[in-house]
Amino acid sequence: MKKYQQGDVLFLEVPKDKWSFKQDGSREVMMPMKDGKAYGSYGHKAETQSTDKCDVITVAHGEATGHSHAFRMSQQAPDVAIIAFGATRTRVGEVPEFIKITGSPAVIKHEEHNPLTIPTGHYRVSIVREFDHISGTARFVVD
Amino acid sequence: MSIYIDKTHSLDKRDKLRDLVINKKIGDSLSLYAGYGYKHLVFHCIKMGKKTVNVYGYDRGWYNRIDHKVPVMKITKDHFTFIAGSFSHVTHDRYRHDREIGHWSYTFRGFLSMGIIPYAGLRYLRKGTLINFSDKEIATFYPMKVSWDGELLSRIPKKAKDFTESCYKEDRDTKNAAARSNYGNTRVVRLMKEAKIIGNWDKVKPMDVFSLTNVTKRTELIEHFGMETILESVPNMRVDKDEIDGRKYELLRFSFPRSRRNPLESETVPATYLKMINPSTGETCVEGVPNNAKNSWSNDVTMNTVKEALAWRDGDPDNIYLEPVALT
Repeated sequence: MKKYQQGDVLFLEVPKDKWSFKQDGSREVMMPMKDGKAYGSYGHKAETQSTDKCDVITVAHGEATGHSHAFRMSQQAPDVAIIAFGATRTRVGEVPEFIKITGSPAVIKHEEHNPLTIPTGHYRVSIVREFDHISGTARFVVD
Repeated sequence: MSIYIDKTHSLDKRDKLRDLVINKKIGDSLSLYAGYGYKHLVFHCIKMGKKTVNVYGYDRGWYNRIDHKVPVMKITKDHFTFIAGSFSHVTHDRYRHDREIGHWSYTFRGFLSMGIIPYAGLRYLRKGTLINFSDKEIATFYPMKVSWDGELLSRIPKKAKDFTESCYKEDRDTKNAAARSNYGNTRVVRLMKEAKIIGNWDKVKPMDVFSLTNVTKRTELIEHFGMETILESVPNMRVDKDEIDGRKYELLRFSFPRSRRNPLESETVPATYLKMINPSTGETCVEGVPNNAKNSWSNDVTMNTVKEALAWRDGDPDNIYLEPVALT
Protein backbone atom coordinates (compact mmCIF):
# COMPACT_ATOMS: atom_id res chain seq x y z
CA MET A 1 0.00 0.00 0.00
CA LYS A 2 1.46 3.34 -1.04
CA LYS A 3 0.94 6.52 0.93
CA TYR A 4 1.22 10.12 -0.23
CA GLN A 5 1.06 12.97 2.24
CA GLN A 6 0.60 16.71 2.00
CA GLY A 7 0.73 18.23 5.48
CA ASP A 8 -2.10 16.70 7.43
CA VAL A 9 -3.79 14.99 4.46
CA LEU A 10 -3.01 11.39 3.57
CA PHE A 11 -3.74 9.56 0.32
CA LEU A 12 -3.67 5.80 0.80
CA GLU A 13 -3.67 3.71 -2.33
CA VAL A 14 -6.64 1.34 -2.34
CA PRO A 15 -5.87 -2.17 -3.61
CA LYS A 16 -7.58 -2.85 -6.96
CA ASP A 17 -9.31 -5.99 -5.68
CA LYS A 18 -11.19 -4.16 -2.91
CA TRP A 19 -13.55 -1.91 -4.89
CA SER A 20 -15.17 -1.94 -8.29
CA PHE A 21 -16.74 0.87 -10.29
CA LYS A 22 -19.96 0.81 -12.24
CA GLN A 23 -22.02 3.36 -14.09
CA ASP A 24 -25.41 4.16 -12.52
CA GLY A 25 -27.10 6.50 -14.97
CA SER A 26 -24.94 9.59 -15.21
CA ARG A 27 -23.11 8.82 -11.98
CA GLU A 28 -20.31 6.41 -11.24
CA VAL A 29 -20.71 4.24 -8.17
CA MET A 30 -17.96 2.60 -6.15
CA MET A 31 -18.81 -0.88 -4.88
CA PRO A 32 -16.92 -2.88 -2.24
CA MET A 33 -15.63 -6.22 -3.50
CA LYS A 34 -15.14 -9.51 -1.74
CA ASP A 35 -13.16 -12.28 -3.35
CA GLY A 36 -13.24 -10.38 -6.62
CA LYS A 37 -17.06 -10.10 -6.62
CA ALA A 38 -19.08 -7.04 -5.76
CA TYR A 39 -21.43 -7.86 -2.91
CA GLY A 40 -24.73 -6.00 -2.70
CA SER A 41 -24.83 -2.27 -2.57
CA TYR A 42 -23.87 -2.14 1.09
CA GLY A 43 -21.31 0.54 1.68
CA HIS A 44 -21.27 1.74 -1.90
CA LYS A 45 -19.93 5.20 -2.46
CA ALA A 46 -21.61 7.41 -5.00
CA GLU A 47 -19.73 10.06 -6.88
CA THR A 48 -20.03 13.44 -5.13
CA GLN A 49 -18.07 15.74 -7.39
CA SER A 50 -16.77 15.37 -10.89
CA THR A 51 -14.41 17.25 -13.09
CA ASP A 52 -17.03 18.50 -15.49
CA LYS A 53 -19.17 19.93 -12.68
CA CYS A 54 -16.60 21.84 -10.66
CA ASP A 55 -13.17 23.29 -11.06
CA VAL A 56 -11.95 22.62 -7.53
CA ILE A 57 -12.03 19.37 -5.59
CA THR A 58 -11.24 20.16 -1.97
CA VAL A 59 -10.08 17.29 0.21
CA ALA A 60 -9.46 19.28 3.43
CA HIS A 61 -10.61 22.71 4.53
CA GLY A 62 -8.65 25.06 6.81
CA GLU A 63 -10.38 26.44 9.89
CA ALA A 64 -8.27 29.40 11.01
CA THR A 65 -6.46 30.19 7.78
CA GLY A 66 -9.14 29.54 5.17
CA HIS A 67 -6.51 27.60 3.26
CA SER A 68 -7.39 24.26 1.74
CA HIS A 69 -5.87 21.15 0.20
CA ALA A 70 -7.41 21.11 -3.25
CA PHE A 71 -7.09 19.84 -6.80
CA ARG A 72 -7.62 22.76 -9.20
CA MET A 73 -8.74 21.21 -12.46
CA SER A 74 -7.78 24.18 -14.62
CA GLN A 75 -4.18 23.76 -13.45
CA GLN A 76 -3.95 20.02 -14.22
CA ALA A 77 -2.77 18.36 -17.42
CA PRO A 78 -5.62 18.30 -19.98
CA ASP A 79 -6.24 14.54 -19.72
CA VAL A 80 -6.48 14.41 -15.92
CA ALA A 81 -9.84 13.38 -14.52
CA ILE A 82 -10.56 13.20 -10.82
CA ILE A 83 -13.70 11.73 -9.37
CA ALA A 84 -14.51 12.04 -5.68
CA PHE A 85 -16.59 9.39 -3.90
CA GLY A 86 -18.41 9.41 -0.61
CA ALA A 87 -18.41 12.26 1.87
CA THR A 88 -16.98 12.73 5.33
CA ARG A 89 -18.42 15.52 7.43
CA THR A 90 -15.80 17.49 9.33
CA ARG A 91 -16.28 20.54 11.54
CA VAL A 92 -15.21 22.78 8.67
CA GLY A 93 -17.14 21.19 5.82
CA GLU A 94 -17.67 18.05 3.81
CA VAL A 95 -14.76 16.27 2.12
CA PRO A 96 -14.59 13.17 -0.08
CA GLU A 97 -13.70 9.77 1.35
CA PHE A 98 -12.11 8.44 -1.84
CA ILE A 99 -10.74 9.88 -5.05
CA LYS A 100 -10.02 8.23 -8.38
CA ILE A 101 -7.39 9.81 -10.62
CA THR A 102 -7.31 8.80 -14.26
CA GLY A 103 -5.42 10.01 -17.35
CA SER A 104 -2.24 11.53 -15.92
CA PRO A 105 -0.90 12.17 -12.42
CA ALA A 106 -2.74 14.97 -10.60
CA VAL A 107 -1.26 17.79 -8.57
CA ILE A 108 -2.73 18.87 -5.24
CA LYS A 109 -1.96 22.31 -3.89
CA HIS A 110 -2.06 24.10 -0.55
CA GLU A 111 -0.98 27.61 0.37
CA GLU A 112 1.54 26.45 2.98
CA HIS A 113 2.82 23.25 1.39
CA ASN A 114 4.69 22.43 -1.77
CA PRO A 115 2.53 20.92 -4.53
CA LEU A 116 2.24 17.13 -4.39
CA THR A 117 1.97 14.98 -7.50
CA ILE A 118 -0.15 11.88 -7.09
CA PRO A 119 -0.04 9.15 -9.76
CA THR A 120 -3.17 7.77 -11.36
CA GLY A 121 -5.05 5.33 -9.17
CA HIS A 122 -7.62 4.99 -6.52
CA TYR A 123 -7.01 6.52 -3.06
CA ARG A 124 -8.64 6.74 0.34
CA VAL A 125 -8.38 10.29 1.71
CA SER A 126 -7.75 10.63 5.42
CA ILE A 127 -6.61 13.29 7.85
CA VAL A 128 -3.90 12.75 10.46
CA ARG A 129 -4.95 12.60 14.10
CA GLU A 130 -3.67 14.28 17.21
CA PHE A 131 -4.30 13.62 20.88
CA ASP A 132 -5.56 16.30 23.24
CA HIS A 133 -4.09 15.58 26.66
CA ILE A 134 -6.42 18.07 28.35
CA SER A 135 -9.65 16.46 27.20
CA GLY A 136 -8.13 12.97 26.84
CA THR A 137 -9.49 12.53 23.32
CA ALA A 138 -8.15 12.13 19.81
CA ARG A 139 -9.27 14.38 16.97
CA PHE A 140 -8.40 15.15 13.37
CA VAL A 141 -5.77 17.83 12.91
CA VAL A 142 -7.18 21.14 11.73
CA ASP A 143 -5.13 24.10 10.57
CA MET B 1 -27.52 6.88 22.26
CA SER B 2 -30.71 4.96 22.82
CA ILE B 3 -32.77 2.24 21.15
CA TYR B 4 -35.27 2.85 18.37
CA ILE B 5 -38.48 1.25 19.57
CA ASP B 6 -40.80 -0.30 17.03
CA LYS B 7 -44.11 1.19 18.20
CA THR B 8 -46.03 0.05 15.10
CA HIS B 9 -45.92 -3.60 16.08
CA SER B 10 -45.29 -3.37 19.81
CA LEU B 11 -48.90 -3.75 20.97
CA ASP B 12 -49.47 -6.68 18.64
CA LYS B 13 -46.34 -8.45 19.90
CA ARG B 14 -47.22 -7.68 23.52
CA ASP B 15 -50.74 -9.11 23.09
CA LYS B 16 -49.43 -12.28 21.42
CA LEU B 17 -46.87 -12.80 24.18
CA ARG B 18 -49.44 -12.21 26.93
CA ASP B 19 -51.78 -14.63 25.20
CA LEU B 20 -49.03 -17.27 25.13
CA VAL B 21 -48.30 -16.79 28.85
CA ILE B 22 -51.93 -16.85 29.98
CA ASN B 23 -54.01 -18.84 27.52
CA LYS B 24 -51.88 -21.20 25.42
CA LYS B 25 -51.04 -24.73 26.38
CA ILE B 26 -47.66 -26.11 27.44
CA GLY B 27 -45.37 -26.66 24.46
CA ASP B 28 -46.82 -23.84 22.39
CA SER B 29 -44.33 -21.29 21.10
CA LEU B 30 -43.99 -17.89 19.54
CA SER B 31 -41.15 -16.29 17.59
CA LEU B 32 -40.53 -12.59 18.04
CA TYR B 33 -38.22 -10.68 15.74
CA ALA B 34 -36.36 -7.74 17.28
CA GLY B 35 -36.95 -4.22 16.03
CA TYR B 36 -35.06 -1.82 13.80
CA GLY B 37 -31.31 -2.14 14.21
CA TYR B 38 -31.60 -5.61 15.77
CA LYS B 39 -33.45 -7.47 13.04
CA HIS B 40 -30.81 -10.19 13.05
CA LEU B 41 -32.01 -11.20 16.52
CA VAL B 42 -34.92 -13.51 17.18
CA PHE B 43 -36.51 -14.52 20.47
CA HIS B 44 -38.13 -17.91 20.61
CA CYS B 45 -40.69 -18.06 23.44
CA ILE B 46 -41.82 -21.52 24.60
CA LYS B 47 -44.49 -22.23 27.20
CA MET B 48 -42.72 -24.55 29.67
CA GLY B 49 -45.17 -24.67 32.57
CA LYS B 50 -48.66 -23.56 33.42
CA LYS B 51 -47.49 -20.03 34.19
CA THR B 52 -44.01 -19.82 32.72
CA VAL B 53 -42.60 -19.03 29.31
CA ASN B 54 -38.88 -19.49 28.61
CA VAL B 55 -37.29 -17.19 26.06
CA TYR B 56 -34.31 -18.31 24.00
CA GLY B 57 -32.37 -15.76 22.00
CA TYR B 58 -30.65 -16.35 18.67
CA ASP B 59 -28.67 -14.46 16.14
CA ARG B 60 -30.09 -15.47 12.77
CA GLY B 61 -26.68 -15.35 11.14
CA TRP B 62 -24.78 -17.19 13.84
CA TYR B 63 -26.21 -20.54 14.90
CA ASN B 64 -25.03 -21.89 18.21
CA ARG B 65 -26.35 -25.04 19.83
CA ILE B 66 -26.10 -23.68 23.36
CA ASP B 67 -28.68 -20.99 22.54
CA HIS B 68 -31.29 -23.77 22.44
CA LYS B 69 -30.40 -24.94 25.92
CA VAL B 70 -29.99 -21.81 28.00
CA PRO B 71 -32.87 -19.32 28.18
CA VAL B 72 -32.03 -15.64 28.34
CA MET B 73 -35.32 -14.72 29.97
CA LYS B 74 -38.34 -16.16 31.80
CA ILE B 75 -41.79 -14.63 31.61
CA THR B 76 -44.82 -15.04 33.86
CA LYS B 77 -48.11 -13.15 33.79
CA ASP B 78 -46.65 -10.70 36.37
CA HIS B 79 -43.11 -10.07 35.27
CA PHE B 80 -40.12 -10.65 32.99
CA THR B 81 -36.93 -12.06 34.51
CA PHE B 82 -33.81 -11.30 32.50
CA ILE B 83 -31.43 -14.13 33.28
CA ALA B 84 -28.50 -13.47 30.97
CA GLY B 85 -27.27 -10.35 29.31
CA SER B 86 -26.12 -11.96 26.11
CA PHE B 87 -26.58 -14.88 23.82
CA SER B 88 -23.83 -17.45 23.62
CA HIS B 89 -22.00 -16.00 20.65
CA VAL B 90 -21.19 -12.73 22.33
CA THR B 91 -19.52 -14.60 25.14
CA HIS B 92 -17.28 -16.24 22.55
CA ASP B 93 -13.62 -15.65 23.38
CA ARG B 94 -13.29 -12.90 20.84
CA TYR B 95 -16.14 -10.91 22.32
CA ARG B 96 -15.86 -12.09 25.90
CA HIS B 97 -17.31 -9.64 28.30
CA ASP B 98 -17.08 -11.00 31.81
CA ARG B 99 -18.74 -8.03 33.43
CA GLU B 100 -22.12 -8.95 34.90
CA ILE B 101 -23.01 -5.46 36.05
CA GLY B 102 -23.41 -2.81 33.39
CA HIS B 103 -23.13 -5.32 30.53
CA TRP B 104 -24.07 -3.87 27.16
CA SER B 105 -26.57 -6.70 26.84
CA TYR B 106 -27.87 -8.14 23.60
CA THR B 107 -30.93 -9.44 25.42
CA PHE B 108 -32.03 -6.05 26.66
CA ARG B 109 -31.21 -4.25 23.45
CA GLY B 110 -33.03 -6.69 21.21
CA PHE B 111 -35.98 -7.23 23.52
CA LEU B 112 -36.55 -3.57 24.34
CA SER B 113 -36.42 -2.67 20.64
CA MET B 114 -39.75 -4.50 20.19
CA GLY B 115 -41.49 -2.12 22.60
CA ILE B 116 -43.09 -4.93 24.61
CA ILE B 117 -41.99 -3.39 27.91
CA PRO B 118 -43.14 0.23 27.98
CA TYR B 119 -41.17 3.15 29.49
CA ALA B 120 -37.88 1.23 29.50
CA GLY B 121 -34.76 2.17 27.60
CA LEU B 122 -31.01 1.83 27.65
CA ARG B 123 -28.27 4.41 27.95
CA TYR B 124 -24.71 3.61 26.96
CA LEU B 125 -22.04 5.42 28.92
CA ARG B 126 -18.32 5.05 28.40
CA LYS B 127 -17.99 2.68 31.35
CA GLY B 128 -21.15 0.60 31.08
CA THR B 129 -24.80 0.26 30.11
CA LEU B 130 -27.60 1.67 32.23
CA ILE B 131 -31.24 0.67 31.93
CA ASN B 132 -33.77 3.38 32.65
CA PHE B 133 -37.28 2.84 33.87
CA SER B 134 -39.95 5.46 34.40
CA ASP B 135 -38.57 6.48 37.78
CA LYS B 136 -35.01 5.23 38.04
CA GLU B 137 -31.85 4.44 36.11
CA ILE B 138 -29.51 1.65 37.09
CA ALA B 139 -26.66 -0.43 35.64
CA THR B 140 -27.89 -3.68 34.11
CA PHE B 141 -27.60 -6.70 36.42
CA TYR B 142 -28.82 -10.28 36.34
CA PRO B 143 -31.23 -11.71 37.19
CA MET B 144 -33.44 -8.63 36.85
CA LYS B 145 -37.21 -8.71 37.32
CA VAL B 146 -39.28 -6.16 35.44
CA SER B 147 -43.08 -5.88 35.50
CA TRP B 148 -45.25 -5.77 32.36
CA ASP B 149 -45.69 -2.04 33.07
CA GLY B 150 -41.95 -1.40 32.99
CA GLU B 151 -41.31 -1.16 36.74
CA LEU B 152 -38.21 -2.65 38.26
CA LEU B 153 -39.25 -5.31 40.80
CA SER B 154 -35.85 -6.67 41.85
CA ARG B 155 -33.94 -5.32 44.81
CA ILE B 156 -31.01 -3.37 43.40
CA PRO B 157 -27.70 -4.95 44.46
CA LYS B 158 -25.12 -2.65 46.07
CA LYS B 159 -22.66 -3.58 43.32
CA ALA B 160 -25.04 -2.22 40.69
CA LYS B 161 -25.62 0.99 42.66
CA ASP B 162 -21.87 1.55 43.03
CA PHE B 163 -21.26 0.77 39.38
CA THR B 164 -23.98 3.23 38.33
CA GLU B 165 -22.34 5.96 40.41
CA SER B 166 -18.94 5.20 38.87
CA CYS B 167 -20.51 5.40 35.37
CA TYR B 168 -21.94 8.82 36.20
CA LYS B 169 -18.61 9.97 37.61
CA GLU B 170 -16.67 8.88 34.54
CA ASP B 171 -19.24 10.50 32.27
CA ARG B 172 -19.03 13.72 34.28
CA ASP B 173 -15.23 13.68 34.23
CA THR B 174 -15.19 13.15 30.46
CA LYS B 175 -17.59 16.02 29.87
CA ASN B 176 -15.66 18.27 32.26
CA ALA B 177 -12.37 17.46 30.53
CA ALA B 178 -13.89 18.33 27.14
CA ALA B 179 -15.29 21.56 28.58
CA ARG B 180 -11.89 22.42 30.11
CA SER B 181 -10.20 21.82 26.78
CA ASN B 182 -12.75 23.94 24.97
CA TYR B 183 -12.51 26.73 27.54
CA GLY B 184 -8.69 26.68 27.41
CA ASN B 185 -8.67 26.91 23.63
CA THR B 186 -11.22 29.75 23.53
CA ARG B 187 -9.39 31.68 26.25
CA VAL B 188 -5.98 31.48 24.53
CA VAL B 189 -7.43 32.36 21.11
CA ARG B 190 -9.06 35.44 22.69
CA LEU B 191 -5.85 36.44 24.52
CA MET B 192 -3.82 36.05 21.32
CA LYS B 193 -6.28 38.22 19.44
CA GLU B 194 -6.10 40.92 22.13
CA ALA B 195 -2.31 40.67 22.29
CA LYS B 196 -2.02 41.26 18.55
CA ILE B 197 -4.21 44.36 18.76
CA ILE B 198 -2.53 45.99 21.79
CA GLY B 199 0.93 44.60 21.06
CA ASN B 200 1.34 43.22 24.57
CA TRP B 201 1.73 39.47 24.96
CA ASP B 202 2.14 39.44 28.77
CA LYS B 203 -1.12 37.62 29.37
CA VAL B 204 -0.22 34.73 27.04
CA LYS B 205 2.06 32.11 28.59
CA PRO B 206 4.30 29.63 26.73
CA MET B 207 2.35 26.75 28.34
CA ASP B 208 -0.78 28.00 26.52
CA VAL B 209 0.55 26.35 23.35
CA PHE B 210 -0.87 23.07 24.64
CA SER B 211 -4.37 24.51 25.08
CA LEU B 212 -4.76 25.42 21.41
CA THR B 213 -6.60 22.96 19.23
CA ASN B 214 -5.73 24.58 15.91
CA VAL B 215 -2.30 23.69 14.53
CA THR B 216 -1.81 27.03 12.75
CA LYS B 217 -2.50 29.00 15.91
CA ARG B 218 -0.21 26.69 17.85
CA THR B 219 2.57 27.22 15.31
CA GLU B 220 1.99 30.98 15.54
CA LEU B 221 2.51 30.85 19.31
CA ILE B 222 5.59 28.65 18.95
CA GLU B 223 7.03 31.21 16.54
CA HIS B 224 6.27 34.01 18.99
CA PHE B 225 7.89 32.40 22.04
CA GLY B 226 10.40 30.10 20.36
CA MET B 227 10.42 26.37 20.94
CA GLU B 228 13.23 26.60 23.50
CA THR B 229 11.22 28.94 25.77
CA ILE B 230 8.23 26.60 25.61
CA LEU B 231 10.35 23.59 26.45
CA GLU B 232 11.88 25.47 29.40
CA SER B 233 8.44 26.38 30.76
CA VAL B 234 7.24 22.80 31.26
CA PRO B 235 9.36 19.93 32.62
CA ASN B 236 9.98 17.51 29.79
CA MET B 237 12.30 14.85 28.48
CA ARG B 238 13.16 13.70 24.98
CA VAL B 239 12.07 10.09 24.66
CA ASP B 240 13.27 9.48 21.12
CA LYS B 241 14.53 11.26 18.05
CA ASP B 242 14.58 10.04 14.49
CA GLU B 243 15.29 11.20 10.97
CA ILE B 244 13.02 9.79 8.28
CA ASP B 245 13.82 10.60 4.67
CA GLY B 246 15.71 13.72 5.80
CA ARG B 247 12.90 14.95 8.09
CA LYS B 248 13.73 15.33 11.77
CA TYR B 249 11.29 14.24 14.47
CA GLU B 250 11.45 14.25 18.26
CA LEU B 251 9.18 12.52 20.73
CA LEU B 252 8.85 14.61 23.89
CA ARG B 253 7.22 13.69 27.17
CA PHE B 254 5.97 16.62 29.24
CA SER B 255 4.89 16.57 32.87
CA PHE B 256 1.73 18.63 33.08
CA PRO B 257 0.43 19.69 36.52
CA ARG B 258 -2.65 17.60 37.28
CA SER B 259 -4.56 20.72 38.25
CA ARG B 260 -4.42 23.68 35.94
CA ARG B 261 -5.92 25.83 38.69
CA ASN B 262 -2.94 25.18 40.88
CA PRO B 263 0.18 25.00 38.69
CA LEU B 264 2.37 24.69 41.77
CA GLU B 265 0.79 21.38 42.72
CA SER B 266 3.48 18.73 42.73
CA GLU B 267 1.39 15.93 41.19
CA THR B 268 1.90 15.73 37.44
CA VAL B 269 0.58 13.69 34.53
CA PRO B 270 2.64 12.61 31.51
CA ALA B 271 1.72 14.02 28.11
CA THR B 272 3.52 12.85 24.98
CA TYR B 273 4.01 15.18 22.01
CA LEU B 274 5.64 14.80 18.63
CA LYS B 275 7.83 17.68 17.53
CA MET B 276 8.35 18.00 13.79
CA ILE B 277 9.23 20.44 11.06
CA ASN B 278 6.96 21.29 8.15
CA PRO B 279 9.11 20.21 5.16
CA SER B 280 7.61 22.92 2.95
CA THR B 281 7.87 25.97 5.24
CA GLY B 282 10.44 24.89 7.84
CA GLU B 283 8.06 25.83 10.69
CA THR B 284 8.25 23.78 13.88
CA CYS B 285 5.04 22.27 15.19
CA VAL B 286 4.07 20.01 18.06
CA GLU B 287 1.15 17.60 18.02
CA GLY B 288 -0.11 15.45 20.85
CA VAL B 289 0.01 11.67 20.65
CA PRO B 290 -1.37 9.30 23.31
CA ASN B 291 0.93 8.05 26.05
CA ASN B 292 -0.07 4.52 25.12
CA ALA B 293 0.26 3.51 21.48
CA LYS B 294 -2.29 0.67 21.61
CA ASN B 295 -4.93 2.06 23.93
CA SER B 296 -5.23 5.82 24.11
CA TRP B 297 -7.44 5.57 27.23
CA SER B 298 -4.84 3.64 29.17
CA ASN B 299 -2.69 5.31 31.82
CA ASP B 300 0.27 3.05 31.04
CA VAL B 301 2.99 4.97 29.26
CA THR B 302 4.24 2.85 26.37
CA MET B 303 4.70 5.30 23.47
CA ASN B 304 8.46 5.32 23.18
CA THR B 305 9.46 5.80 19.55
CA VAL B 306 8.92 8.42 16.89
CA LYS B 307 7.78 5.74 14.44
CA GLU B 308 5.11 4.47 16.84
CA ALA B 309 3.85 8.02 17.24
CA LEU B 310 3.81 8.60 13.47
CA ALA B 311 1.97 5.31 12.90
CA TRP B 312 -0.71 6.30 15.44
CA ARG B 313 -0.94 9.79 13.91
CA ASP B 314 -1.49 8.38 10.42
CA GLY B 315 -3.74 5.52 11.59
CA ASP B 316 -1.43 2.91 10.05
CA PRO B 317 -2.50 -0.71 10.56
CA ASP B 318 -0.90 -2.67 13.42
CA ASN B 319 0.85 0.52 14.55
CA ILE B 320 3.66 -0.04 12.05
CA TYR B 321 4.66 3.19 10.36
CA LEU B 322 4.24 3.19 6.61
CA GLU B 323 6.58 5.77 5.15
CA PRO B 324 4.97 8.00 2.54
CA VAL B 325 6.26 7.78 -1.00
CA ALA B 326 6.12 11.57 -1.12
CA LEU B 327 5.54 14.13 1.63
CA THR B 328 5.30 17.89 1.22
